[in-house]
Amino acid sequence: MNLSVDRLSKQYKNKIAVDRISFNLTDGVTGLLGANGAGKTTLMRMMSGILNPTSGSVTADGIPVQTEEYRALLGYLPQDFGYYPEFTAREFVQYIAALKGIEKKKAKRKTEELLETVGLSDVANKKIKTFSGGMKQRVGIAQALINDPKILILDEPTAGLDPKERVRFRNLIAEIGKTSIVLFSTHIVSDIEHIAGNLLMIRDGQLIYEGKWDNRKGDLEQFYMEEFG
Amino acid sequence: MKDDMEKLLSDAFYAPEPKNKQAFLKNIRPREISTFEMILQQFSYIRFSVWLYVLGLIVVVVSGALLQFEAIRILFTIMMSFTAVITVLETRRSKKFGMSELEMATRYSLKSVVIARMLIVGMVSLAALFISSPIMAISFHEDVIITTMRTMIPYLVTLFVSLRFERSVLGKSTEYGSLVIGFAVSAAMIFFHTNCREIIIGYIEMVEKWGVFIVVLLIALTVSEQWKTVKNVEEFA
Repeated sequence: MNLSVDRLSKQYKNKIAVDRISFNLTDGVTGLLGANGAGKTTLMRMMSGILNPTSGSVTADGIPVQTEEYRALLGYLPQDFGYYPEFTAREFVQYIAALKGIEKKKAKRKTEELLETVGLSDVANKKIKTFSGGMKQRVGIAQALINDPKILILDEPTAGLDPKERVRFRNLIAEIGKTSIVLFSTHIVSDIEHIAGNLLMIRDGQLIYEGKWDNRKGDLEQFYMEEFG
Repeated sequence: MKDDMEKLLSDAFYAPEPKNKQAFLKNIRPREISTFEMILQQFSYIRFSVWLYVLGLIVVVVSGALLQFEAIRILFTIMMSFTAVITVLETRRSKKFGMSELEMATRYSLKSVVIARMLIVGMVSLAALFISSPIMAISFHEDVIITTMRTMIPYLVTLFVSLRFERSVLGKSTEYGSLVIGFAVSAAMIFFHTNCREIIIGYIEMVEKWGVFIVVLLIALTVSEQWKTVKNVEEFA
């Protein structure tokens, strides 16, 4: 599958949040690096079809982002997400499964599988409001994976995870990246170094780096600090 | 013997490990889902308190009517106005609990989710109205259509005003604005009912003469407001 972002822009009154960004992604893990306010979340929202761009387009094998067909391929984890207070972890994931049009039987099986994967099967019947930040984030990761997405967009997925959970998450993402397009944003350079084969860097809404990080260019963390520090 | 045979067979003809199974499964197109199926799905996610309220309304109104309890007439109208409030509160649940971003990125648009919720709660409210009104009319020896319209008008007014308010700048920042509207409409009805009988008589006469026209007009206005609300729901940032 080929995910194509073509001259994508978003303008809010007098601020350009994303400025004519273009790139193509294929199966594999791509890291999106940028400082706060660089336009990462805006870019990801447009790529998830929840924010209309001012101009430009996003297509997956020619399927436009605005279509149901595109959304059927998508898994998305926003930076901040809420939940209905009556939901348990299991109910939350099953609710998203229902909205993704997954059959009940399959949704149940997949929910159990994913809650096991993210280490929440023993608290699956507990209300999410009783969870810690890291546990909520893991529920978020589980819901993003419920439809076996071909395109997985994760906005700051490692935020709130402890080091052990982060390692487990990296392994999971690396596995998914073998058969899907995974784009994830982070502030943590080591997350990118460990799993992202491809790298996108944005600053002030513009793409400043695209491609594999070549170690001959030096240390990525050093480069990041120089560009965004 | 049979078990042994099974084991021998499985040893001799072991199934190979699936290759690229996940990649293959991901390429299968998801099945089409009808609008009806989607509405049915949302049915199970309507809060229990909503069902309880509507059921309570029917029980209270039907019992009150059968016992010829006079105050039930105004109580019925007030309770119906609050079903309008519940409908509006259901439409803003996603935003209130921060679920809209997730719901917008699923296969159905958030618009469809909100339409489905509005439709379900709206239909349930109308079902409560159409079940209770004839019993009420028969118990108090009134015309069924007039009783229905008399109750429906404050319901539609509350729904229309609440939907309009929710889209305003003040409404977006106020969590329970439509609840305040529900209370205001109810307070006005109680006030007129107890202090200004002539207004109530005038209202009944107006309903008898122009009821159908007023109801049709209010339905048209409410549907238009609902449509604007649905369009508004996916406006992000």
